[in-house]
Amino acid sequence: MELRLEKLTKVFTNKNGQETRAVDNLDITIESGTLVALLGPSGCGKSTTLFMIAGLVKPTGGKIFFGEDDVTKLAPEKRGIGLVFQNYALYPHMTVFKNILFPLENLDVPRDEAFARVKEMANLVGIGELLDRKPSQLSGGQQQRVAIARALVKKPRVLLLDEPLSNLDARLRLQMREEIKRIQRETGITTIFVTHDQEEAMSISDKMVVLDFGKEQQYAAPQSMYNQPGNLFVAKFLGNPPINAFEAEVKNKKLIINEKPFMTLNVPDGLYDVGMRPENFRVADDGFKTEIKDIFHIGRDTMIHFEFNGNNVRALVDSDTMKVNQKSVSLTIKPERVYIFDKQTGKVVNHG
Amino acid sequence: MEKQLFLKSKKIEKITLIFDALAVITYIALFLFLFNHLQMPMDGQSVILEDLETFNPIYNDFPGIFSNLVLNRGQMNSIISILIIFFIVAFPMLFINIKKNKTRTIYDIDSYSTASTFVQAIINLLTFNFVGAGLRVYNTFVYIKFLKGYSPKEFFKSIIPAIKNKRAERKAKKLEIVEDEEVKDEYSLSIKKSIRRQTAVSTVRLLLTYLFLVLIALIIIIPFYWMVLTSVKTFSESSSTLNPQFFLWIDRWNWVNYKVVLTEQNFGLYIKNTVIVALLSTFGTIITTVLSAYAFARIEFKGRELLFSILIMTMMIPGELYIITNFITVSKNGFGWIGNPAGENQYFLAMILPFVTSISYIFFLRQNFKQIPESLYKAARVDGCSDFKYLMRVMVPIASPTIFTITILNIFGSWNAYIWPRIITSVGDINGSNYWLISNALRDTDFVLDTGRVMYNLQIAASTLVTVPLLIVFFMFRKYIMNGIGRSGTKG
Repeated sequence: MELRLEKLTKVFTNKNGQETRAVDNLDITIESGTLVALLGPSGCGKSTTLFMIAGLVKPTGGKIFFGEDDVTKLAPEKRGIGLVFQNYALYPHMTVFKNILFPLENLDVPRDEAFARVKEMANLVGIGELLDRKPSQLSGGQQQRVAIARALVKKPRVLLLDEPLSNLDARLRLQMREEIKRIQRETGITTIFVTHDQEEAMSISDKMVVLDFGKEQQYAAPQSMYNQPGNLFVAKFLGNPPINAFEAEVKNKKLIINEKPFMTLNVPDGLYDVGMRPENFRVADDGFKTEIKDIFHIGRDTMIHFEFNGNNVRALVDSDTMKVNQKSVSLTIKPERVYIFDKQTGKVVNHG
Repeated sequence: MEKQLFLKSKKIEKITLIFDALAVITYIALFLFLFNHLQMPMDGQSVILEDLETFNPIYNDFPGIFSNLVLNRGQMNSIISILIIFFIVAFPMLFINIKKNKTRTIYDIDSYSTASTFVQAIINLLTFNFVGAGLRVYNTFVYIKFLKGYSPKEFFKSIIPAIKNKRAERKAKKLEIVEDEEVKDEYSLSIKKSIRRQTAVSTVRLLLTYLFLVLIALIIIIPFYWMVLTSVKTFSESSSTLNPQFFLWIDRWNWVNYKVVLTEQNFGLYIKNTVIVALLSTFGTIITTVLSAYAFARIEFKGRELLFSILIMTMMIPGELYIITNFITVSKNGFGWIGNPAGENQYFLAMILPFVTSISYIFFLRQNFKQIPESLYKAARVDGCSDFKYLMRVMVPIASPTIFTITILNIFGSWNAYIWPRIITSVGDINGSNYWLISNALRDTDFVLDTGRVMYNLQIAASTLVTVPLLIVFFMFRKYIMNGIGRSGTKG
């Protein structure tokens, strides 16, 4: 089922009358059966957006559509959503079986059907043999699975996940990431996934929404967002190590970095922000020569710190092309991998 | 094999527990039967209290196979005393064993638990619970098999060699010590000296600590002992100041005192009144406390914090000050429950309704509710759970230990209440004394004879009746009680 947000806005007012726009005019359409990640730094309004979709937070303005139905004013239990919390929110005094059964109990599902559905769901998420345990007797990953089973058992139209992996250790996180992806594929349910971890978002989602201060920054598939960031914020937010960003001038279609021309670009003259991803640099004989300030060999890759016309820049290159304690190197970068951003709006400027 | 033995022992223990429970029920039933049979010196309807001491009835009207039995006063007293002692021994044993049996795992069985099972078998034997004793002895051998792999026969055979072994060991040790002392190295001597001193100091310290503890325990226990002892004495025994008896043999424990107190002095009625008031007011308190604590902890409404601070502020006013306003509320100027002509007063309403809520418990429970994560509430909302259902299905089960604590503390409070029921029952018609609670009855019942003698033994018997239930509840649930007092301050 398609999910559509129209000019969704949430304004929090504190005691002094100060307003905080947690979510600001959000327009997003999420296609049926896709897994979309809401990504952003903490405090950007991603959880608020999720809770508005769930119905736990009332929006100040705008509308939420599930398919053709306007659900903006509908109570949470009538929307047909499944919600998984960061801390799983399992009822500690109930067994796993009763935890998963609880939503069905409220829907007055007949006993036999309810039991069958609980067992089916438990098997889907792989906790079929843990049904008579209490949540405190389960590991973090197992609790997570119970929470997902509980969210899915009432066959919701939308599955909402609020930072579901942040309480798990690194290895389990990788495993659960694949697990969530598999469950989503098998059930074909429209899923929204909130996270502040860009790697998690990129690996799991079909499409990502990047938010900052409640505003949508970009909505695209992960790889295309990475390769073609819409603005400086997205470029800076995505990528590890982070993008090298500095000021530069364009005069007569020449990119001039600290008064030294670097390459030809097809953009109007003026002052711009320039971004270059560390991993887009290549070692090549016909590139520019530079002194290496610092060099770190990290297995497959080698990180080079160097001064690029007065700016401190990092480059991530293949370890095979470098020698230990090399003093200087010659690097190139493809023109289409140099991102030019408007100084005022931060939007990307095409220079194809 | 091991697992099977363990399961077998557990099964035996369960059967033993059933027989233990049967024994306890038998003790109670027999006690009640005999207690009912106790005869008092009657004069038409009322009891002649003066004759209690010299009254010596013959009991010969037992039913069934005991119809030939003839008992005098001393024998009757002895039998009842023995039954009570049996109950005091068997009931806690049953209670603790049920608790232990629930949590027992395969790792809990060791030589200590084996020995304790055997000791319990002996106790069973002494309390005439022969089936339980037999099962426990059998279970002891199952444990031995489980621990050492000995069958009963091998076990008995192994006893004498084991003792011999131990003796030989001790002999060897002694020899070693003697040999050791022959070496008169100055350094080793000084070490030996300091070790000796250390042991002496720690022994003396341990001794002093326990002496102190025993002393304190005695100071606390002796009044209770004296109370129970006095309550079963005859009048002349209880009032002899020159040469008081610190110990009485069981045939001189006059249980008839309790019967007089319960029937003639109406304490049965007062206990019934107290139980009614305590249960109903506790029931009301729990309902109001749970609902309002939930509202203050979870539901967002305007003025919540303000309302809550006002409620908290009322805790600062001493409770005695409310008496006047409460009294006006229930008297003719208010609801008019009391102060009416005979037969129109509603004493129970006036005693219960002002106490169906408690600010300190609301505060206590609200803090507990607040610790339950908010996300549980959100999850329940998404699952289509109403506020009330969430409270009943999620909050109350999670906070049930606290609610249990509140229940017990509140029952204690009602049991001990004095001023309010005293005021209420003394207003209006003479019937007020039919609604006395035990604390008022203790103060106001007439234990004085026409001759001017005060029947101290009866008075003390009444006090014992009031105190003992509380003591039992305290010992059973002291964990919860200490928990509640520790967390909510001393008020409550």
